[in-house]
Amino acid sequence: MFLSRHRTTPHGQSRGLRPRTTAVVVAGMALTAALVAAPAIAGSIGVSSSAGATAAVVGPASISSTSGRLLASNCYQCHGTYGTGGFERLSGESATELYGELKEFAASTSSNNIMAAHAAGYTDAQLRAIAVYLSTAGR
Amino acid sequence: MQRRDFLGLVATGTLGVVTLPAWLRFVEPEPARAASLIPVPNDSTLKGKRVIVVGGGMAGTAAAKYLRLWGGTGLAVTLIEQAPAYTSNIMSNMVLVGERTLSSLNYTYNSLKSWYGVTVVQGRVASVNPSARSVTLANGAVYAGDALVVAPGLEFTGLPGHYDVNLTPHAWQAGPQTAQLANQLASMPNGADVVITVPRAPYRCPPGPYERACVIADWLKANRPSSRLYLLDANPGILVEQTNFANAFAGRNASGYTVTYRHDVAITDLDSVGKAITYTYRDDAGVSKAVTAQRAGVLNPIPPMQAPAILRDAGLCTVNTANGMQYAPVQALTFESSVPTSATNPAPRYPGVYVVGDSSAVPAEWYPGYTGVPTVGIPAIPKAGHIGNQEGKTAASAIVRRLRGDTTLGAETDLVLNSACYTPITRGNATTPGTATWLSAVYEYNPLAKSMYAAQGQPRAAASATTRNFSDMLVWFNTVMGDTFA
Ligand SMILES: Cc1cc2nc3c(=O)[nH]c(=O)nc-3n(C[C@H](O)[C@H](O)[C@H](O)COP(=O)(O)OP(=O)(O)OC[C@H]3O[C@@H](n4cnc5c(N)ncnc54)[C@H](O)[C@@H]3O)c2cc1C
Repeated sequence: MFLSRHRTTPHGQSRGLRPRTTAVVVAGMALTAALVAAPAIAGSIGVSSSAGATAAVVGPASISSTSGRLLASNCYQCHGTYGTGGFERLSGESATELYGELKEFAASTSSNNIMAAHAAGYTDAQLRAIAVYLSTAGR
Repeated sequence: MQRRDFLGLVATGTLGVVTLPAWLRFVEPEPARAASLIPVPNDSTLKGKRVIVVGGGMAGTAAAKYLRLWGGTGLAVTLIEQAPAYTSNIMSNMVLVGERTLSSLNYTYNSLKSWYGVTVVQGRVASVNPSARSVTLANGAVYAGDALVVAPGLEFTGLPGHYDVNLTPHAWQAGPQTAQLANQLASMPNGADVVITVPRAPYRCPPGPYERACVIADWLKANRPSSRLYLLDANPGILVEQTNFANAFAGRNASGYTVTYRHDVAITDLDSVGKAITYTYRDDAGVSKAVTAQRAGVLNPIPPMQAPAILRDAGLCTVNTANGMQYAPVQALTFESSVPTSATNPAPRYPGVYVVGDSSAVPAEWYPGYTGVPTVGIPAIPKAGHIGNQEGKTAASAIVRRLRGDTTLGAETDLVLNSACYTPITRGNATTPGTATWLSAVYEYNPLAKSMYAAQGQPRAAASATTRNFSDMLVWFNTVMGDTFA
């Protein structure tokens, strides 16, 4: 069971797009091992844009790491490239936290929540791969 | 400087510096929404390799951007686009009723050029040579690459009778026709009717015509209260979001307007000068009815659409038996052309040629074990912008992996294509926010059938039109355009 704090808008509606599990994540323990065992794609390299400007290091360290890369890119239409904006920033959150949130959405019966609709379409292994990739992307 | 460029691109929406329609006041500002520009990794592994992308729309632009992000600085990417800037189809129905300006839907290629290092060539491709993975421009210039991605969208066909697109624009490709149709609506007298026709599927954006009917009917309610709206659908019923649209058309759920919806429509004559339409349709009891020369104040026929001539003439297309139109068949995992070598040799004839976006036809089927009655339009991969962007990324991923010598491609089972559409149902006004619904679909890859399928329970639609969905729609729009163009 996750405890969710839903943000509330001034109009009194639940933001509801994404359950906030930052406060309490209790279901992550069993998964941690699996998530940690996934290929390590984190790290830091010096990157510069083609225009020559330097910027904060974002994106996975190695561009030859493809695990979860294409799957996670399904999130970017709503959460920005590499999960850096949109409805809510995803990149840099821990894999356990992201996976827990995705699983909570996938199990949700809310018929008016688009994230519930999305998450329900992915397999468990895919949700794990997405969580691991995003936890290291766009940091 | 880069930052300012980026803000310039998306400033038309949530960050609002252009015109702020009333409904934007209901959008909750959230700093996290401004995405960052992602640097192209400094990696020269693919030095000497070049990819040519034709068409800077939703699919081609995403392909070009992600080819650089995933290919690194070594990979040369050239995007050939005929227009100096892109005009988004998404949200263009709002332009028809004055809720948005056409220029607020313009997206430049500045980020692509200056930040992602894509070479952008403005020019019209006149022909594609798939054997050489090359294209020839109208000015004679030839561009060839190690891979060729073709994403030119769709071309519109004719309609029976005295049809003239210049007089009765479809406005299904946002641009001058959108402005023309908006003007026709604005000058239509109260009491005249609006008639919109829908072609047989597949066509661009399955919910789009129903959305257009809602948005215009909502406008008529306030501005031309004696006018009616007829939606004449060639399909046997509303293709998607049946409950939401049926409710809206019937004036339920506070839509407050009505749409006269007719299905199984076969047009026999269209008179663009006299703005009249002759057709047959089937009533809800299945009885065939004929209508002769129904007059319209604004006649908006949306003709059938297919892959453009540059793809058809190159031998990259096959005929879709449902509507007689041609699209480019592709392999689901990569979006590489699946046109066979010969009648007896199914091996792809044009390796290295990829087709993404609305031009393509992706193999799709029901999920394994499906026992229900097939419904029109499902489970086909929709021709839409959100998923078109993902198709661009899918091809980019496959191309980069292959150029890097990655031989594991094809063994994986983790391809997913995600589609999402938000649909305004009411526009709102200065004191009341608008309402919207959404449609979402997740498609999985079946490696045995080498085909995509809509995952069980997909697609899903919003339970009802809400104000929350309306503000979310704007965040979604700005973000999907940002992921593509910024
Ligand atoms: C009213 C409306 C509402 C819509 N709403 C939604 C929605 O809510 N969600 C959604 O996901 N989708 C929506 N869509 C669908 C979406 O706009 C299209 O599916 C999407 O634009 C397709 O992308 P594309 O890249 O294949 O083609 P396009 O976006 O049309 O891009 C093709 C590009 O290729 C260029 N080009 C064509 N031929 C040549 C040539 N010979 N040489 C050089 N350049 C060329 C064109 O100039 C253009 O820039 C909507 C469409 C409409 C009409």
